[in-house]
Amino acid sequence: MKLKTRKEDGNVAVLEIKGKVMGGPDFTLFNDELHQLVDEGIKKFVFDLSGVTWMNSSGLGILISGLTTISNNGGELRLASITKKIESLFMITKLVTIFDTRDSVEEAIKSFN
Amino acid sequence: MAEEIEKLTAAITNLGLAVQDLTQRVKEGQGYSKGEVEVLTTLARQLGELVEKNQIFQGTLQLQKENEMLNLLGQKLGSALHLDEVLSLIIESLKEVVPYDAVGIYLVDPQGGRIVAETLRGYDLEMEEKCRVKVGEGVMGWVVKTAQGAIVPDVSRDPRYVNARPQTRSEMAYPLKSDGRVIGCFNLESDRLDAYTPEHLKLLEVFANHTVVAIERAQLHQELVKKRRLEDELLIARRIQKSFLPRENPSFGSLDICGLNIPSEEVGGDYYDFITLTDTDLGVAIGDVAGKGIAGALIMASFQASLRSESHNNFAIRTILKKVNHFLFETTSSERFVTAFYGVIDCKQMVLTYANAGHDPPLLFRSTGETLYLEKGGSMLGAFDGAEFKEERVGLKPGDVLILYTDGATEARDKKGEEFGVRRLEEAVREHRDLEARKLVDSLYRAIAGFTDISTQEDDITLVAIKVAEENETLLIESRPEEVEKADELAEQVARKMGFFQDEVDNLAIAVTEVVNNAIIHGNKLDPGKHVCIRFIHKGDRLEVRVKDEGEGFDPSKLADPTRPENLMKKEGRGIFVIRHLVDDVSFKRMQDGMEVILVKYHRKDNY
Repeated sequence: MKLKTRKEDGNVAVLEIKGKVMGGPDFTLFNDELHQLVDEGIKKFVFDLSGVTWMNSSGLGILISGLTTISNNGGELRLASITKKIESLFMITKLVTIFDTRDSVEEAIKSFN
Repeated sequence: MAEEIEKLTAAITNLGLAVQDLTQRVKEGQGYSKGEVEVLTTLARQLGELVEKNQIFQGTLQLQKENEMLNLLGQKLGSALHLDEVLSLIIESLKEVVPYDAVGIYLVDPQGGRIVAETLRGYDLEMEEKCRVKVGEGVMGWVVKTAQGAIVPDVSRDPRYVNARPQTRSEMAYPLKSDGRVIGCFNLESDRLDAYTPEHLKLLEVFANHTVVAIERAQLHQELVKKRRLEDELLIARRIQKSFLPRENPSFGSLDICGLNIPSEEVGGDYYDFITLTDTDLGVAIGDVAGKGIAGALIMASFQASLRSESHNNFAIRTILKKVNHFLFETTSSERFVTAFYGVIDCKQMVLTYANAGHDPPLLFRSTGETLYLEKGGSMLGAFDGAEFKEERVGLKPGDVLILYTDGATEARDKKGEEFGVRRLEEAVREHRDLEARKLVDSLYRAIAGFTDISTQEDDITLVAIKVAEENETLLIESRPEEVEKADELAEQVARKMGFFQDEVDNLAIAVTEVVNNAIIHGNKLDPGKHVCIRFIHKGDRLEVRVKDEGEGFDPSKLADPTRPENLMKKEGRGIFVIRHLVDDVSFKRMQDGMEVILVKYHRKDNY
């Protein structure tokens, strides 16, 4: 997994996740980054999943853990550009009901206003 | 007919009245004129003719009654099958048209030429027994010998008569004939002198013919019953055979194994067996007994018992076969023998050690294209006492295919009488060798069945395929989270090499990483001293991945449902649930030193 973070409109953090999300060291990497942003006081988060090749249940665990961290700090999360593969995984596991998903990063950012 | 008789009766009455009238007038006239006498004479003659004619008509009526009765008898006989029942029916019906006080239906015993009662009425049985006659003796003996009916008006005056019944005064007998051959005799006796007329004899002839038909039908029925019993026996033989054939194909190391037996109508006594000797040694046997049906099946059963017990007690195959041979020689007749092949596959060393006892040599198809005939051994089992056997060791390599068969497979014939033959079998194996064992065996059988193109299968067909997994990659990783990437890499590499499509590669990789993650975190609890072993086993279009940890294991049936609302926000617990959607089969094996999870994924042949 590769992780890249950028800020849009000053107060929206876009975390661009790429490659295979399979747990292991991915979790620590992601968790550290997220906590740092939360500590900076950022409330609006977009996870850009367009570059995710595939994701296993540990990857799902990372997303859930991220959602928990953000909501515990009074923030909001949007998932953007999820691939068909992840969508079907969301359907199987019924996680589709707990995530707010948008077709693109732009739409996700727009939805915060 | 009745109308005619009515007319006749009216004519007779009229004529009678005319005669009466004339007689009256003559009486009154005190005498007969010559003319009157002439008229009277003519009238009397006409009356006589009419009465005679009437009698003939009455006789015809009687005949009609007899005919109706015979028709009825024919119908009744048609529905009755038991000979006793049929003969009783005949005897009772006969009584309505021909009188008798004693009756017997007899058959000639083809061996001794004796005439033996099939059914009797009105005799003292003890006495009758004493008076048994042979062909040529007594009235019945004469009838049987000459194939003619006989009427004896007074038995005391006939030198042929043998007294079996003191009251008898007259007798009538008629031969039972089938295709011109006398098979028995129908005999009637009466307490009256001169009780039988030629008309009676004619009637008896008709009854005798019915009797022959009934007897032949009954014999046919008995043959049918016998045939059915034979069929029952075959059913039993089939059941015996089925009971000693393996119920399932063993799952053994990197071997893919499948056996198939298609019994012929007569049950040819084919046999194959898998004997688990140790965790890594598998005994494989195939055999064919000389003899069909129950006898063949029973010999096969004792062969199996002997082979199984010897194989557990001895390690040298030549010794096992020597002992089995001795046992079969002792317990069966010399024309009963068994051709058999027995081998043991050592999955640790990947070596097959075998001996062939007169059986069609199994074929070992090397992955290099070469074919070996496994024929080392000795003579068939049970034929010669003290026979010695040689054994041979053959190394097995990834991709090797071993085919065992019985002659029912290669000697199956087409319409022209040509045999399927070993060459065609070899060609079929080469064509289908990439299929997994079950499908390979299936394809071989279909090739044979398609070639023969006949509905009747002469002999049992038995085929066993043992495939050595084509390649067998193993990966041993430490219990650190980052190690999961190694498992992912190898999984994708193997799946690609097998020609899996991209989505199949991804799904397999997800499933493998799920299982490996679980093994590292939950199984081995991140203990750096423990390892996870991942094996990739290819079998044709089937990929099996075995992931084994060193943990305490878990009960897969007790996993919580991650889609329940209370579990939705949990970070973990979806692994197994997700895997089930990604691969074709998931199974769990709790072992002494850990837990093994087995994933199976088939390569989809068509892209969509």
